[in-house]
Amino acid sequence: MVLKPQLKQNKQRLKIMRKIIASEFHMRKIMNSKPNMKTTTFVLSILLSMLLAGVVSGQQKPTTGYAPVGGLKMYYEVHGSGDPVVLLHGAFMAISGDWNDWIGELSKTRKVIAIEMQGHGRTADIKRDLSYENLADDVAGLLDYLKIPNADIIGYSLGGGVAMQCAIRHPEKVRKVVSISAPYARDGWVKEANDFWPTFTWEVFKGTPMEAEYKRLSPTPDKFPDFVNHIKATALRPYDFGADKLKATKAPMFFIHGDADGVRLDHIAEMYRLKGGEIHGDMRPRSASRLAILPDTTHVTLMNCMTTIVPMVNDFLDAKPQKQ
Amino acid sequence: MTVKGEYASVGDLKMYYEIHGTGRPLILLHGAFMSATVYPALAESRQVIAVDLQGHGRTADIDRPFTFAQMADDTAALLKRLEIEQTDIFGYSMGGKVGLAMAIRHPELVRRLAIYGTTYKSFEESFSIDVLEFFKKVTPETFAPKDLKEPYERMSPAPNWKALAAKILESMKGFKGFSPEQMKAIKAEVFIGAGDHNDANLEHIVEMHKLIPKSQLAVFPNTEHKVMMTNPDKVLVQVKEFLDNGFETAAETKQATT
Repeated sequence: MVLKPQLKQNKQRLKIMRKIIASEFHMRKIMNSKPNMKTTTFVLSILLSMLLAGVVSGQQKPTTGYAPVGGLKMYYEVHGSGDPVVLLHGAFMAISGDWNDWIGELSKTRKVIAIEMQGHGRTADIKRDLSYENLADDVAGLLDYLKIPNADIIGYSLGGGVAMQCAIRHPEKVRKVVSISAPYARDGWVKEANDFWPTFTWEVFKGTPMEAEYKRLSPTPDKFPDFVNHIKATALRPYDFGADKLKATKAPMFFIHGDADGVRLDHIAEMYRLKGGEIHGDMRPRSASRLAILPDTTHVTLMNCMTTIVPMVNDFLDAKPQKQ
Repeated sequence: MTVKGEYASVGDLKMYYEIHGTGRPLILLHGAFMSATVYPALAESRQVIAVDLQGHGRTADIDRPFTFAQMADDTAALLKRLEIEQTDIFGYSMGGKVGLAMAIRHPELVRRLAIYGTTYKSFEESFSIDVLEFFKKVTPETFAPKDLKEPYERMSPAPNWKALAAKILESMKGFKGFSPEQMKAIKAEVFIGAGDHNDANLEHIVEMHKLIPKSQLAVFPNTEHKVMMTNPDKVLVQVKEFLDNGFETAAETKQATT
């Protein structure tokens, strides 16, 4: 098993990084502030996943639709067949670019239900908090709408938090959870990440591929500043799912992180322990939950590690429960 | 390929070692009760030096307690004898502690160090309840897993399993841990590998990663301590990637010590 993409892929990553560093200069001007490395890095990190657009996957045409849930007309796509798995993107993302590759890979053996959460992509925003709870209820509503009794849920970043909330709020609908780079409380993010948001304004994204992608997909293309501010409000709001609530979830969870993640490593260790980690696998039956930390990898570069992560995810989702 | 093992006199110790292949040197340090193990995944394009540490495998014991510092000094002396000025190291379990001791005591010798299933603190601080309970009960008389005992008795010039077990338990329980200052002063690039079903306290593995200035951390899913004996490639593909290529992520993106 390789916890990090091979060199060739890394070179690709470097090329992309160089592109981004070029746009960094532009962004510093926009931000009109002293270049703050940490802040800039964080902005760049959010941008990176958006900039990787443009790959056309040779996959089958999906079933698409809009589901009436939680007051939304929520856009979804269904790819492939097999055990159902809901795929939840990160903040500012949509079903586009690299995320399509993840869908293509996972749908080789599964029925992937990819959605665009409130305000993202083709799902228009509404006057409602972009809270983890609301977004989790939307997922449950979509499963009802599609008449799928229960499903696995995979989420990245914002989507990882929503996936955990689904297990807390709708235990009967969730089989297993894969949470990629998400904490269960605001305090779980590294300090730089939490410090970043108050200084952030939508203009940072002006003229970026992220804005262009929003305008291309959104039913309200001129609302980009409102959308960004809505996410900012979510990011500023304190949240904590509750250690006891996470611990009480029945669904096995697989936490996937980078060693240079935006989520604190101590928080990651704590989440894993809450879900039954810290079992000596040579001495006792293993816990159903799992943890992977990829070396030399960040919140954003995790998104480049599809070839590493998807096989791990498949192994986790396919594992039969061990007799305790 | 048959490789003839050699012995080098290192102080009072007659230390067994094997050299395989050519290329940049890589020292392999085995776990407690084990012996020189040459992993094919690491052996290509390298000069691999696999040793038997004091009292292990083909290296007879001498009248001296086991300490990780002493084992590190033995290995450093062997390197000097072989005229190797700088090396990479892979250490498993106890061998990882010896590797850390080498990086601390002989910084000029170590370029990159990869460890798997290794802790840096004292025994009580490092392990989960499961393991501590196990070691409370275990004695040199009762601890005798076949997969370790049989090869030992076959290889050792003067086998005495109980004495070996007693010395290993003593060395583990007597270890005070490396200090934060020692960890912070490590110059080598370090790869810290652990299984998500390993025996060590995960927070301490994280702490180790935070303390060592140039380190990366890998936690392998659904993986236990013994994986190095059952399915080593699960870990070694990643270890090789690190030993050959080092770092890409800039040091500043590493999470700060809090």
